[in-house]
Amino acid sequence: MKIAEVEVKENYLLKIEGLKKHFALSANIFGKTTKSVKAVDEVNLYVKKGETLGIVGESGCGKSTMGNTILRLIEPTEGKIIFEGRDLLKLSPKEMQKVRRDIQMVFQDPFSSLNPRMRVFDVIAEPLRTHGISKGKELEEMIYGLLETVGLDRSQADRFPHEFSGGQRQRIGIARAIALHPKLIICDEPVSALDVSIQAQVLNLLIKLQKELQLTYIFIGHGIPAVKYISDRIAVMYMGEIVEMASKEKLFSSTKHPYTLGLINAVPVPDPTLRDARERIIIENDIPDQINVKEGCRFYSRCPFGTDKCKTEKPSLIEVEEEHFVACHYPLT
Amino acid sequence: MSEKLLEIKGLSTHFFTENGVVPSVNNVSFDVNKGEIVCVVGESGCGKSVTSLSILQLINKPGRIVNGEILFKGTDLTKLSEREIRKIRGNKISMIFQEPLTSLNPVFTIGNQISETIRLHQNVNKNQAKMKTLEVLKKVGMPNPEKQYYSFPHLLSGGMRQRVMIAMALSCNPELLIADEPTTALDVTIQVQVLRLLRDLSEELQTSIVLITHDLGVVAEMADRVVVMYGGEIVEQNNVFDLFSDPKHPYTKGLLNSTPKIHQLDDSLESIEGNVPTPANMPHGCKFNTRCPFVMNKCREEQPPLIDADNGSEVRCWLHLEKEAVSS
Repeated sequence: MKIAEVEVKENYLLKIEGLKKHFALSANIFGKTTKSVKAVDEVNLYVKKGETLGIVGESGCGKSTMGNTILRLIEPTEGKIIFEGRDLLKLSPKEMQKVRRDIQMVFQDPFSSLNPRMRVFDVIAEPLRTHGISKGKELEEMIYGLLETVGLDRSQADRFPHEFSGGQRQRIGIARAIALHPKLIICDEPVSALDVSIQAQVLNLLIKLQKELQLTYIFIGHGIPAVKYISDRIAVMYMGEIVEMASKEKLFSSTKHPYTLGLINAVPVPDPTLRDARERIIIENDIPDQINVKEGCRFYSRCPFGTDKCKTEKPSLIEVEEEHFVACHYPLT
Repeated sequence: MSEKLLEIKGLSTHFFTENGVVPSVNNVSFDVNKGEIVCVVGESGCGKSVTSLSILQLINKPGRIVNGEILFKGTDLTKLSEREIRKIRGNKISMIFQEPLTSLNPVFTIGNQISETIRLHQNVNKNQAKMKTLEVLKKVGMPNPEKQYYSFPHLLSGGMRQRVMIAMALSCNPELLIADEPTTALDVTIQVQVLRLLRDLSEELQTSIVLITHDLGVVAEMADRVVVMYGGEIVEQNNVFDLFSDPKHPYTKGLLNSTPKIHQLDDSLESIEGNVPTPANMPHGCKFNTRCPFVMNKCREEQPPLIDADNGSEVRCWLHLEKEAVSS
């Protein structure tokens, strides 16, 4: 069954259908786009309540663009984003503003995503004030509570962001995101800019908060180890498309797409005894030109198993086992 | 007994800023043997990059090497004049940086930049330099070198640019290559290609490599010996197999435990509490005492020395000294 035909089920919090975002590069004299970068091209996926869906892919695969389109921070070209039964792309700006209460974001760079002129207190208070949740004494208590929830001290509320380290800033970003009790948090590479020992702290904090507040996460990352650690299900993106989506266990134990396998094999294993013992499929070459995308499977130019069919015919994302989707003519066994 | 190529003895590099002295690197000593890959691992601000820059005398003001010797085949690099060190840079010792785009000159073709290095250090004419450039480009796996010779850096992808940097670094057959986070800016599928290339070249040409990294996965993949740094000091030094199977310093243990293991399904992840201290607010005594789960009173009062442990390893921890006292 193609993923596009999967029905919206009761426990789906979010379902994305046929999402596209093409950035126009040039147009002819009538204003019609002639050249474009297909940053996101036909993305279909669903997120269940209370789970973490990890999205991995290399730089330029469109994962961050996709994250931004969900909140309509970037307007998508085409597609449906169904959140709790409503298509977000059909909402008016006012209605969209209300939805943003339920969907929050944590950004990659904790140095540029916090306003340097605002005190930590105001950074966290801003969403609460914007949505008119609380004010005065009550607001103060809420913010101190939030700071403690993310492992900071209430005495730090009057400081400015530059006084904090990267990990602490990311905690502030998380406090801001959970302030409104959202249903869904989109984490866009929240640990990529942090040191290894601090990464683990932030990942463990996210997991703790998920349990306590019944949150649902979309966790975007380029490092498979971190995504693997936090996710229940994982979707692998390559050049604007999802090539494989499955539960974490299935994705690693019965990998179906050659790209996924190459990606897993490329991660250096922190165990020197396995250095030469591992048999590896290594993907050669680089990501091809993203402007003049050739027909057929996008991975064809780097795939060790490509055939003539792959060159001409594009595979669609199909359910090969229960909840294991893959876009490949010849899935691995 | 293998030949020592580089010996760093008691290196201290300090930065004299308006707000006081920042001791970025303190009393760091390690050796690099011929053909060996030594990985220096640590988190941001631990002094690993400053150490690597100190080797080639690339520390700018307000920084200065205040103490120590850097012996390269017996010659102390810290004593050389600017003219003499320039003969060594790019020739006998070369360096690869993290961000290949900023390390390449955008207005010259890559062929031009590589042959410049060759002509500077070797007595060859233009044509011979070009032939050598093509040869070295081929060696680093650059597809279609004749055509790429005339490309400008911005036309190449990140992985290809890093190959150009490696080609440039290897163009004069250096005896030592210093690679400062060479793959951090690259995607994993490209990283594995670049790492494999470095290892093959090291084996083939017997080039020693000092690899600076924060990624223990990269260390496990590449190193013969590992130097772990924290707060500007070496906290542990050992061969790669013993370091991973039997880490001695609590920081090394913490670092290993907080690295997600992709090859195991059971994945609990422990973290090291607290934050990396900045050079301005280094704690008294052992630098790791604010984050160490085994901290004792002594750790807060007195800085532990680097202690020789078994099999030529070294560790800087009071805990280890006590263990030895009990067993002897």
